[in-house]
Amino acid sequence: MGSWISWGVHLDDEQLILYIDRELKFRSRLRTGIHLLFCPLCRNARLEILLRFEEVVPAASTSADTLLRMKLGLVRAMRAYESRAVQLTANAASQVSQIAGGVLATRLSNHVQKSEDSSGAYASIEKSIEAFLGRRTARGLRVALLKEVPR
Amino acid sequence: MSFSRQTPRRLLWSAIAVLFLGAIAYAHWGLSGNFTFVDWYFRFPVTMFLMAAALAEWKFAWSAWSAFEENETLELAWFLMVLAAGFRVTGLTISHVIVPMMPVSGIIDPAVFRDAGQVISGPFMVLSLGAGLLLVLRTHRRLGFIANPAPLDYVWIAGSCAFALREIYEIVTYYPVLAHTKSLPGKVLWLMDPLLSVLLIVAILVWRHAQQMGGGYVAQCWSTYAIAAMLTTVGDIGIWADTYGLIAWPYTSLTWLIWIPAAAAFAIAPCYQVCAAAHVFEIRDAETAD
Repeated sequence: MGSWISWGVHLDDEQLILYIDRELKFRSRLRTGIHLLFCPLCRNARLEILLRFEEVVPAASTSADTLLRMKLGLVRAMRAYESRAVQLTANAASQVSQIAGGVLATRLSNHVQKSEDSSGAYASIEKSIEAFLGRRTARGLRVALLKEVPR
Repeated sequence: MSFSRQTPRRLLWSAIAVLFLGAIAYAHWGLSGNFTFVDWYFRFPVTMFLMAAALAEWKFAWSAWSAFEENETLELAWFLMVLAAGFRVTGLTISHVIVPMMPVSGIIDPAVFRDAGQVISGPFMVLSLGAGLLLVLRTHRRLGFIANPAPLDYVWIAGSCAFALREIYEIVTYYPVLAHTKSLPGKVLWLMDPLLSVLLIVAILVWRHAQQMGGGYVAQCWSTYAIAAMLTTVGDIGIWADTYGLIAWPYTSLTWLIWIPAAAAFAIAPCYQVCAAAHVFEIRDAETAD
């Protein structure tokens, strides 16, 4: 809230990509640069996009416009994936909490948020689930939860 | 018995209903001075409830046990829980159903047979339950759900140990006299109080360790087992007070009421474990259907 009042509305993905690609006009670039200087949230978002884009190697013939659309599509997909993962993890965590307690549920959601790897996250609690519920039931929970959380 | 996730609550309400009926029986005695209704209450509704609760406990413990494979950590613990429930069913059947129907002038003395029933639902049951809870405690510790007893727990533990030591002292003192008058089951029953002290300590530790899980059916299961063990200890203190004439008859019968919530807790505990498994398969089936 504080940063919103001081430094304006947070930057969206499109603005960030245009800023990274140096395609903003002078004043917009200045305003965005200053916002980024003082807003840790947007700075993190920019860093995240930069890290993601390292994996994308455009073909030599790709036009700037196509490349921009490509990057934007990638970022939108990434955001959609993350928000769904968070939502579904919350659901999975609530199930685990009801069955085996809040501690394991927290462990599960922390792991998913850190690594975005749902099967790895389930593996972190699997030993405890197996011990308390038995291997067969734990397998049932694994099937149910890993269908819920996207890999 | 049909099962749903409301079953623990239903079991609790049925215990409350039996206790409420008891309150009516005692109120009737207080107002009319006639003890017949209280006598009927303990002979029929309470006996039926204790039997039904023990059978439910056995059935749910069996269901929980069957979810485990032989090389799994808690398989042995659940087997011991099934055994403990089986001992309760057998002991209660002998002392509450068979003995009252036995002829006094039969070949077997009903008092000895009743003692034998109490040995089965007493020391045998406590040994199985205690050993099972010890395995559960070890599992909690191995998985990092570790807790120390609260200051009040030490009071319980100290009180229980003092009670057991006093009992041991009395047995040693009066053994030369009692050895000739007591039957073998009667002598085995002397082990009950020291065993219950150990059970209470284990139960308190299991309760505290299970609380570290932050709720959920599994933690509720082990906490309820611990509560049941604690209530059993309190009930045993009531029997002790009765034996030593600390409470006059018929007020002694009030201490028997503790066996109703204890039996309910013993039945509810494995039911929570079954609830956990049922919940897992519900969400799995819902996912598969999607």
